[in-house]
Amino acid sequence: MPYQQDIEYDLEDKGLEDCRYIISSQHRNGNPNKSIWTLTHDGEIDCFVFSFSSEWKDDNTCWGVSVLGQDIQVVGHNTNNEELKIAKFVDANANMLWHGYPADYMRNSQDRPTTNTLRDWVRRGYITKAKMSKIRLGQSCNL
Amino acid sequence: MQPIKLTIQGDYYDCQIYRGRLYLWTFDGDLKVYDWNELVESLIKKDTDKIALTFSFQDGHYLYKSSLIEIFEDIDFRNLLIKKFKNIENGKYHFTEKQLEKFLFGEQETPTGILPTDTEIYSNKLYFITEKGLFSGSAHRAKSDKYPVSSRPSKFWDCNLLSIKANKYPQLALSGGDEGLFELNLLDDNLPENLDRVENYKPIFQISKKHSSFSNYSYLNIYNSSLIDESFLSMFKWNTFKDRGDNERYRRDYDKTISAKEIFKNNSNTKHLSWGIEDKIYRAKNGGFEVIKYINSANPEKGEEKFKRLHDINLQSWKGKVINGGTAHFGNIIECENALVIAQSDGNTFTIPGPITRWRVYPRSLNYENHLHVILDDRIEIYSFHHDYFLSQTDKSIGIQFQPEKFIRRRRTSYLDEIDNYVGNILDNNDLVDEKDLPF
Repeated sequence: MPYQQDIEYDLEDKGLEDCRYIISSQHRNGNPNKSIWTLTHDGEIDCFVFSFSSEWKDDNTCWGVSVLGQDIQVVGHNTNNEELKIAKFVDANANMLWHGYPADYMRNSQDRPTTNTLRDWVRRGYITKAKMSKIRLGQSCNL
Repeated sequence: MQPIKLTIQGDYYDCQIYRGRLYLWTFDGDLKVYDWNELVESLIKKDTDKIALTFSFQDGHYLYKSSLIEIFEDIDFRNLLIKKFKNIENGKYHFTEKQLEKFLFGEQETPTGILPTDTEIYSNKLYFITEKGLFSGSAHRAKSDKYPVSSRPSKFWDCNLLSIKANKYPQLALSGGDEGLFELNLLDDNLPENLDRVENYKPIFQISKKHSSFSNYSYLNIYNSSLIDESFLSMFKWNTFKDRGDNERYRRDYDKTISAKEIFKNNSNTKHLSWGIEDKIYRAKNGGFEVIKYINSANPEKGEEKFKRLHDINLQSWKGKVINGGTAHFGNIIECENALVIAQSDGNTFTIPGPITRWRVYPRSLNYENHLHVILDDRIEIYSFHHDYFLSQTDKSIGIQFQPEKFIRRRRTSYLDEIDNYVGNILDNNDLVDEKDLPF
């Protein structure tokens, strides 16, 4: 059964107990005021599951990438139609109900992944140490 | 003249150098502090290299002394000193991590356990930022202390900042990205009255709500650089007031903001990065950058120009988009996506291929203002520049104009300090040594 927007899904069959996810329509359907996913609904949920399972988590925020081999893929674009490759997931009410959006780390300083998450990405070979530093400094880098 | 390079192998993430100690943050999250003076002294294999190596790596300030400018006008003396630098230019100054261990002063886990996004050391305090906020802790501690830097830093603020920059005076500019530009003011009193505090009782003031990627001080002012929005100069001025004892006091208050568009007087390169420090403001353009000299003492009411356009600088090679810029006395550092380009104050350039993790210059330093530190994937390269000593500081268009401080109380940090008087006596007696080596 295909995932639909604005419906809560239990992720127990994905290996995440007591964890629910909602695909927010705010970041779909060409909303001009928000970053927009280009991943499919399945892709968005897989991205979150990968992020959560990898423990790229800090309090109620999770950071994600969509990886093919060692290369991170485009997950969406910002309001200027620039490609984005980092996803941010939030559990806004701390009740294990998550949603996410493509993160624009250059324009929004709160959209920068934590240092420990980035370091894990470096160690896995997804990004270089130099790119980790640039992301933390809010500088441009070709991910 | 080529810079002299010292290489240290290792997996590093950030660095600082301060009062004879080199601070290296490893990628694994340790902070290791080394005795820099001992390390440099270990490089000296011949007595005749001692002066050049000392000036290069330990005392970058010495050769800017105004008393030496007259000596440099003597072509023989000048050439002899240049030759000394050339003799060590091709030296192999290289340390493995193992070789570095004997210079270790102390080591610890990085304070808070999170690798810092940015760091500054000022007045024996380490200031640093992580995603958890802005912190400070004591640095340059005694050998008897357990750790070289406080392991329990104080938290100033929880803003997720992008970068911090200290001034010569007790202020730190704080760049908060889309949150704006702020300043931490460490004065006990006479704090600005026309700026909003971010929280009651905290000495952190919002200078602007416009985007701030990084910033630098230009005398009393802050030049804000943005990779997203237009850059600008936040100007401050001295206001006088009477204190409780009816004594006249001075307070540094915010004055106004001037955009890069107004400073450069054209819109053609507004999407390019602009940065400024002390007397120079730069804006990148395709194939080079524009230069403005900021004349702090100019009085516009008398028709004097505060922002004077100098000639553009054209460069041969650009390695991708410009993402960061900085300035030291020895020249401009232009970081492109794939390389670091150094435009030297003598007109020469050279490129350090990336990937570049981090680079730092220390224009505020009293010993290391001629250093450039570059962290690459598996090493740190420490460059020392010495061409700037032989240039006219008022005429150069690239690099900070060196201006001697009138009153500096310094501890003896140069081995040459104790023989200053000896040289002075020689000059007074017109007894210049006419030999092949320097008179000291």
